Amino acid sequence: MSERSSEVLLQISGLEIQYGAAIAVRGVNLVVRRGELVSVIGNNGAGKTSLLRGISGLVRPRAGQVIFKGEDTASFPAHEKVRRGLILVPEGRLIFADQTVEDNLILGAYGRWNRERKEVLRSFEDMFALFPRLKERLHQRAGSLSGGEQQMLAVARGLVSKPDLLMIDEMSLGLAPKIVGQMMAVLRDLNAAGQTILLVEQLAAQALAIADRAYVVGHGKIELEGSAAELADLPAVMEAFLGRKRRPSSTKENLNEQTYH
Amino acid sequence: MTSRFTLPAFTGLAVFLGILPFTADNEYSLRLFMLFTIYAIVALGLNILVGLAGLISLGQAGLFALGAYTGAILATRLGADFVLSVVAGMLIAGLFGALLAYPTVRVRGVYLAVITIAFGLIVENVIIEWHELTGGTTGVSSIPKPSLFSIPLDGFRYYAVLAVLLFIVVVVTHNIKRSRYGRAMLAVSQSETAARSVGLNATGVRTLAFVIAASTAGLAGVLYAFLNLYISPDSFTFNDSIRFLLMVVLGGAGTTVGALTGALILTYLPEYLQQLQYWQQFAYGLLLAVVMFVLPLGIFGTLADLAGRYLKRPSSAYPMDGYAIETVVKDAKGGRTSARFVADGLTIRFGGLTALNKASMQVDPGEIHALIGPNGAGKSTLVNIVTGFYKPQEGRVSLDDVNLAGSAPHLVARSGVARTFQNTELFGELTVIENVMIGYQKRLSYGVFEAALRIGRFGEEEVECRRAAAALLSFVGLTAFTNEKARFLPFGMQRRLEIARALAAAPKLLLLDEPAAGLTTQEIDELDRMIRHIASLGISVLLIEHHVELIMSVADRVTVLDYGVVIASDVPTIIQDDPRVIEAYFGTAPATHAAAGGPAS
Repeated sequence: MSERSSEVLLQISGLEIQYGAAIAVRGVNLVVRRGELVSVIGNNGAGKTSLLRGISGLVRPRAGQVIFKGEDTASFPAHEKVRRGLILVPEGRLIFADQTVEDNLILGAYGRWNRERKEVLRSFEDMFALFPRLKERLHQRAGSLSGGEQQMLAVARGLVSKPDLLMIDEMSLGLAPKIVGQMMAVLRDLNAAGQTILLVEQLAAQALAIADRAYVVGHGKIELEGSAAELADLPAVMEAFLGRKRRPSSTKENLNEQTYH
Repeated sequence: MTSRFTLPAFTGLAVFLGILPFTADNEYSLRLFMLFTIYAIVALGLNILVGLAGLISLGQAGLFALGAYTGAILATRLGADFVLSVVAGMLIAGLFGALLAYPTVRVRGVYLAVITIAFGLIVENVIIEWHELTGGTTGVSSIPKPSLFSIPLDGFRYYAVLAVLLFIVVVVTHNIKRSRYGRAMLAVSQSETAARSVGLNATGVRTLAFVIAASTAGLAGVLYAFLNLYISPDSFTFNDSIRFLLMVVLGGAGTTVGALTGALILTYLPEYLQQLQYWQQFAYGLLLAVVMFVLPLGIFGTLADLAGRYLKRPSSAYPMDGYAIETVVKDAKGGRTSARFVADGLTIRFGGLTALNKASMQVDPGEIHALIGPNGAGKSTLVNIVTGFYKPQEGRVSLDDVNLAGSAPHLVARSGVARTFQNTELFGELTVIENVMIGYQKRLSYGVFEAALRIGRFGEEEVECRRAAAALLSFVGLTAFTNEKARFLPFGMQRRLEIARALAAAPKLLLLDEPAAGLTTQEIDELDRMIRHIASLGISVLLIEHHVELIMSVADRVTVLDYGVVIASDVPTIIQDDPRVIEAYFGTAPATHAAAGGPAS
């Protein structure tokens, strides 16, 4: 994968996030260098989405630092972070369903639209090269797109702001295998062209396949970290996230089990 | 408020109502207190509409007026006694409440508020202009003093009647809130789609809420007429409607104690503020603004929210008492009839786009049938047709030869189709167990009056419903989260909760819409076993899914959709090797240079 400068783009230390009495993230340290593609994998409820919400400013961390381009942004609201080049493509896509595809893209470039209209339109062309479907559907209501097209739009909406760091939460959610493969390839190509990416993903095998480095999150903490290739070889990771699934047999004994924890 | 506070709260209220008149040192302060009881009755009824059903009425003064004028006119013209006037006032107002509920079929939110404003204005205008009946702007005067069983109700006696009625309204509205009707209202306001999918008739539920809010306003109106012995249009203006709504919102919509507090504050506050003379309105407005800013959910709404966040909820699991999944999914007759599901020649077009083109498929009784296809192939459309949200232009959908195509979603649900949702549609503000209990809703049979008075089948059925829900939570492994709010559950658990809610209806066909999306390998293994277990109970399962391993492991047969057409339907091993399916769906080699040529979905 890409071997780039060692400039630290994002450095998180001691991050804690709490909702009411529930602690979702407990003291996470994480680093993303410019040019890297870093994956975060882990079980449901492990705190992956909360981590991204904390980094992006959608929730305010209770403690810890979020140093982005050398500045502690932990207390900044989300729009201030966007202005500095930190973008989140949220879980479930959250496109603006009642507006057209074009409007969604214009909103993605909100901060650039007035200052550099020409460059923005050029970014749009880049997006159409990446996702030709979006050009075909430019004037359609975004809510009428299929699931795969909506995810393309969500990623494109993030990219047209020219982010230093693009964070993506659960990109594969609800996508057919073929589309997941295509989207993963797009991320890999974007990264090869220099885009720094932080990808939170449930499909660990695919996420590790395109990442430089990865973190495994569990119970709100970083449990493992290392190069993606190293992690993919660890027995603990293979069993929990990658290993060929042991097929549960459909014998009667199994069926009589009452609970699934 | 949780139920452990209910009895002390009721006792406290009774003591408060009993003691308060003794603090009244003159006629005026007693009258003010009687006004409070009347306003509180309006607020409690409106609280059901606003706090539970999530609808806003800015026309309550109109309903209040209908009650007052009905009572006053009957008493003066026809010599009707107090009881008859009260009953008639409630009936007339309730009837108009039902009419007012009709627009909710198509109008919601702020647009509905406009309709209720219009209603209030119309009532006010009719009262002013229909001189012969209402006395026009001079109103109805010389209303006879109320009496009950020929005991004249004056001074403290009338207060006693008001206090007792208020107490009854508190108990009744509280009981309704804690019954299947209250749960249904909350469900409809939080996710109408999910509510209809468990068989709730959303319009019916909203109508009930409107009727309750209207008949309590009517009751209060009659009581007001007999307190004043004179009524005129001045007491029933738009401003009064606003004040009624403010009582509910200020106290905290959805909480009984909030509605009472709101009524108390807004009855007394203007009296105290009179000392300020010119600055009265200013102070009134400022106070309201500050309170709502500091306590955004109203006084008790905010307190309850904070308590819910920081106090530990009772985590004790509810006893199942021998209930288990096997017993819960049996239908009322005690037996299970497996059903055959058939979709035949479904065609639906949106504008120029044919989303489904003569699509047919069949799920045998107890079969696990997977439906796969690329994004945009028409799977969601098919789900929406099967569940009654879309009506196909051609074709039939039937469960055991009963045609469902074109039936409303709640009727489809009642005939035995349950579903989960791709992006989860839970009732987020309700607890985990309450979500499952709403799934059980249509198997409960007690009526509104049984719920209001906690008599008849109410007790037995509620216990049965709770036990069944507890058994289902145990089945999906969520017992430890019984009393958590559903929205606080992580995504994977929300999916399991949806399955429990769907099973609570004892469905014949269970439709799982991408249940594995966002789950890890371990969780998918659990899901795999869960689906097999469900099918082994005789429930047919239609599984819409992208997770290939799960499909290949669990499905008996697989149907593949592409561009709205069924391109294959067979056992998994054959589907896996079908070149058309590989081309359309699996893609040849994942994570290659597919993107270079552009996604061809």
